[in-house]
Amino acid sequence: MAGRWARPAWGAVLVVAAVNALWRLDRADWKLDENVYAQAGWALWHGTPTGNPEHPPLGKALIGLGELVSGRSTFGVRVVPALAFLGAVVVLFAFGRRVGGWWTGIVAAGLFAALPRSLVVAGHAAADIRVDRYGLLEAVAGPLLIAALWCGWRWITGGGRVWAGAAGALLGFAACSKLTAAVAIVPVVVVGAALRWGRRRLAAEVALLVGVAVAAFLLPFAFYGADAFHAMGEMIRTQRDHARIGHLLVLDGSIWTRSPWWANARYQWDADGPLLTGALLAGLAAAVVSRRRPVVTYLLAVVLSLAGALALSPVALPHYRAIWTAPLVLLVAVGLVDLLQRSRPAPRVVGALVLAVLVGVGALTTARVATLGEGDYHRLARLVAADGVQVRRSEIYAESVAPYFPGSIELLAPFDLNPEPAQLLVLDPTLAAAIDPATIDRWRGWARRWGLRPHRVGRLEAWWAAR
Amino acid sequence: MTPRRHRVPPARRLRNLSTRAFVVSVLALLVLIVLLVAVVNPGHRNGPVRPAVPPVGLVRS
Repeated sequence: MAGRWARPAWGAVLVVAAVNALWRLDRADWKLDENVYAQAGWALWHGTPTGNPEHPPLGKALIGLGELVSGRSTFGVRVVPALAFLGAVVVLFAFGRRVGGWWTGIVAAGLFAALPRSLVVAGHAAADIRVDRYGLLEAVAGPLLIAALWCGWRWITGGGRVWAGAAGALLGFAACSKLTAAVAIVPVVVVGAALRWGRRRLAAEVALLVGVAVAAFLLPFAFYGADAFHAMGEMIRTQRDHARIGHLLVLDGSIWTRSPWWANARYQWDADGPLLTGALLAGLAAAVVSRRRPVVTYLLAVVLSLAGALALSPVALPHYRAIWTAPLVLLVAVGLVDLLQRSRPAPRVVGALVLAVLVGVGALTTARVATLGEGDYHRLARLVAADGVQVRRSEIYAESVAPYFPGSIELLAPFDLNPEPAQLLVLDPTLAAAIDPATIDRWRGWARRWGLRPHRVGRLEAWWAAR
Repeated sequence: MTPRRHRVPPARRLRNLSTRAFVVSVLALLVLIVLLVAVVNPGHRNGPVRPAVPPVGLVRS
């Protein structure tokens, strides 16, 4: 039963979701990886699939589709992730409603729509408010994954080839957007088979799910035409190399070349703080003791598999955790609504307090989205243009600046082998804090020789010469 | 003749588990995962961050 307030509440969640997904979508600064995926996605649709061989093609292709429809801009790159975000809100509502009633659906969808998923590196906010407002692969793979989990749950509870096939297809597509999502097929199959044990046609349905997942993963490689197998080989090779070499990053006041197992938890703590992290943990604890044990087992297995797999990786970037946000938020919603429906007052008070904290944080986040201002990079580009500088070449250890100066090229550090004169040098402490001061001073020395002057724009150190 | 042992399906076994047993199982699994990943991936720390001194003549824009 919906209850008197359920439908208006669901309507309010949809409005909040629309604001969080689309309002001032183009305002935040370009991310470095976002620019890479934008170029690779554009190339995929124009028959020249080059660049970024490390990741499978579907996420980049969907980001490129947004560019095809809306133009090559921050909005064009972010519009498909924004629509995927709205799709995830609807799926979470349907999933939550099915497993715990209307209010579970509303709470899950509402928390997903409103809670922040910001990135904090070296003490600086490296992205505005929520990572799924960017054209990043997790912003596409995450919604596909929660849709796959919903279909998987329909298969577990009702059976049938249609749901098994749909779960497999969406799992394959999620994995072909970001490889991390492939891990989820293990808990879906294992928990699904365990919960459906003894039913007719179980083996056939499992085989169908896995087979369709593999086919859906391979299908988008058709973008590469005859070079599809070469592209797959390159993807595996570059992933292996990245895992072997590691990734230079700043974490907990230290420089790491291979991130430790606790990196993702630390990113969450740095970005969300003790109040939000504590409330989410309390919601998770409530889910574990809730009466909805089968679905909690299913979702927990998925979240732990993803978090465990990423903890094993020597490359942990702060946006990776976005892949498990949706199932995590659904677990929290299941736990909190279960507490609120208990007959004893103590669990209800605890559930209400935790939910109040989460709703409060979500309301503040929505207010921040509504008033989102100009980022440091947009301001930098405006100041450089106002000084009459024609940027043809920039050297950066920072997020991308080339999109602000059409026709320019940018070189990402280390650029020591090729110190040709540039009109702009940008150092972002979220990356440059990992570089030793002597190297930074050497780069500054080049900038001085090229006649550039140092400026501080927000957190950025930028060098240019006013005309 | 020994009667055939009836096997309880995993779904029912999961539902019949007491809350305490379920919580202990989840916590034990968590501890195992943490131990495994901590052993396999301790990471490689290069050293503390040493912030560069701001350059001479810095203009705040």
